[in-house]
Amino acid sequence: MTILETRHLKTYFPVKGGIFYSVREYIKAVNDVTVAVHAGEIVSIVGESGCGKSTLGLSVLGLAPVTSGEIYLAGNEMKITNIDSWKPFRKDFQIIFQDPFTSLNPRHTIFRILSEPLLVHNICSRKDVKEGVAILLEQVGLSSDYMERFPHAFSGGQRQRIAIARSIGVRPKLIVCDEVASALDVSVQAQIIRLLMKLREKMGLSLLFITHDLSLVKAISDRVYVMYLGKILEIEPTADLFERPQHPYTKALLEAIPTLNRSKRPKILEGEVPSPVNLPRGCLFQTRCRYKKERCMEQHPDLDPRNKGKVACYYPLISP
Amino acid sequence: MNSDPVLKVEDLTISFEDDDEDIEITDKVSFKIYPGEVFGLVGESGCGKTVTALALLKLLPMPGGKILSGHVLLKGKEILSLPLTEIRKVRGKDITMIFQEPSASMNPLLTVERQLMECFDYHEFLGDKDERVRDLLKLVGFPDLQRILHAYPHELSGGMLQRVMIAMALIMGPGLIIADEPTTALDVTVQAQVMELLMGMKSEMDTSILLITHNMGLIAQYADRLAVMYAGRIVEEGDVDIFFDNPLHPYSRGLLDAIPRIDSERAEIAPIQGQVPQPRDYVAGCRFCDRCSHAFSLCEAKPELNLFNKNQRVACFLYSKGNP
Repeated sequence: MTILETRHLKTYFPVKGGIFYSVREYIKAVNDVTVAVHAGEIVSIVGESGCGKSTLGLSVLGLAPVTSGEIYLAGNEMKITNIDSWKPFRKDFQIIFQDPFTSLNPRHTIFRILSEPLLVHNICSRKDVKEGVAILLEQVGLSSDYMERFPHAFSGGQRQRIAIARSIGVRPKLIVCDEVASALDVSVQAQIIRLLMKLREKMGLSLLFITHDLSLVKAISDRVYVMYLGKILEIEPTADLFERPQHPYTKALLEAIPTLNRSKRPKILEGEVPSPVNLPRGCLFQTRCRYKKERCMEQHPDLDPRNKGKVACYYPLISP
Repeated sequence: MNSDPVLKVEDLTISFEDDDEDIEITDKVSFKIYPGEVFGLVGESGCGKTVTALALLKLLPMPGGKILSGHVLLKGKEILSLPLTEIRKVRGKDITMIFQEPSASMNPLLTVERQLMECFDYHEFLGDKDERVRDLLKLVGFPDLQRILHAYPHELSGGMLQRVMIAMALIMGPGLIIADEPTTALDVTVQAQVMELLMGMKSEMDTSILLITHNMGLIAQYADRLAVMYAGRIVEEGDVDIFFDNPLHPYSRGLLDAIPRIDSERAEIAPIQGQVPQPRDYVAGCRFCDRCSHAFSLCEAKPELNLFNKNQRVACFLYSKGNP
């Protein structure tokens, strides 16, 4: 079953300017993106900063202003123009943000932070809510004695646990994890990832994992979408992506990572990500691609099925 | 390495004032950096690595930061006791620094040219100053000199700014560059560009680099020797080649197991339980002991950084005589 699906999703942000402060152009943060997450699956969206991966994560939950396209949550088409109509589905779709220092209200106690979703969605009655919060805290490995404390009393890793507790309280089907581990130290990062994996198993969650860290993607996800300048360039099962990347961009991303293997030096991908306001002509990646040919200058290639995945490239690295 | 070290840090103890109380941030940190060497200092946030780097140039935040004890010898000469006017001659000339956030470490109101030329206001330079700046900008990969010279920081991307910072750090031909998380704010593709550039410059100009980072991959790729810091102390030090094959300290091993790896088939990432202690809670004994699965009675005492073999030193009782 498909838990989350988007079709030709576009989220454009207007850039205003000029004398009349009129819309001059658009930042095409999410530009015609079709993704699907199946039940129990961990899907990763990877890309460099500014590629639109976070906007995509927000858009699928109606938290960013979607310009056009279709969004299906658990098979139901959402009205993108009427965000209020999403309310019955909110409970099933949660999000955890990158920075646990800004995503928890500093003036609310942990009890208040965790009890609010339980009460709003009628998961617990007022009478039982204390017990509900205690169970949540215990599930994420925190003591229930912490209930009356405020977020500032906790470290980054503990706060991220609280954010996780808040999202699982309503027993969601899918959680969007937006760079959940990037603000944390490696030893704590591993704790948080492990906790998420454990909860996923126990609750049968699907995860949409948004990150720039390819090593992490390899460790946890089932399928990977590689995003660049608002578009998906490659979709692969994780093992294939890391063994046989088909898109030159994916390959370059993988090769740029410094590994612990000293005999394998990182390789350089020249240039930088172009501005999302002035997108390059033709293939979005052609300005940095070392395999570029004439055809690449004309039109951005479609995402075509190839081998076990899909790739948007006229000259993929692996022949079928 | 037989030559004399460029920089020798001995028993550096730094404290910060908090509620009228001095809290020790680092505890007798010692290391040496030899000419032409890349020395990596790794550890998690709050372990004292950045504070150590700042103290080398007496850049600790004032008031509050204090150097309680220790020596920093630059080519054999003590620099911590120098008055401010003298240490200014060292900063930007003998030792330069590259910071984590390039956009925050440049003046937004000045053009790149002004900021690069500023260096000459403080240090004597006999050659052609304009030419020096232009040469360096070309070297760090800016083909269009006019554009970059007249650009303001906000017009440049993070990668470009960090390349300007590298050019700035190289102007006076320093003996040592302190690179404090130079690529943490950058994307992987840009990180690879910046690191390759930095290493190229290093060999060309024969400087040493103190590379401070939490990224083990960067250390493995670019450093010659490393020191692992934990809760204000160096817990392990040695050659990078040997370290990654045979990390000694339980913390080093835990750290390596906690990193998701792209180059191996190992699927599991194994977290280190517990969390890094706050400086206020630092104990006299081994500070990793409460997270360590090997902890035993001896760990109540402070482990010294002892020689394990020719190229490795470790601060752990597991390796003291009479123990396995």
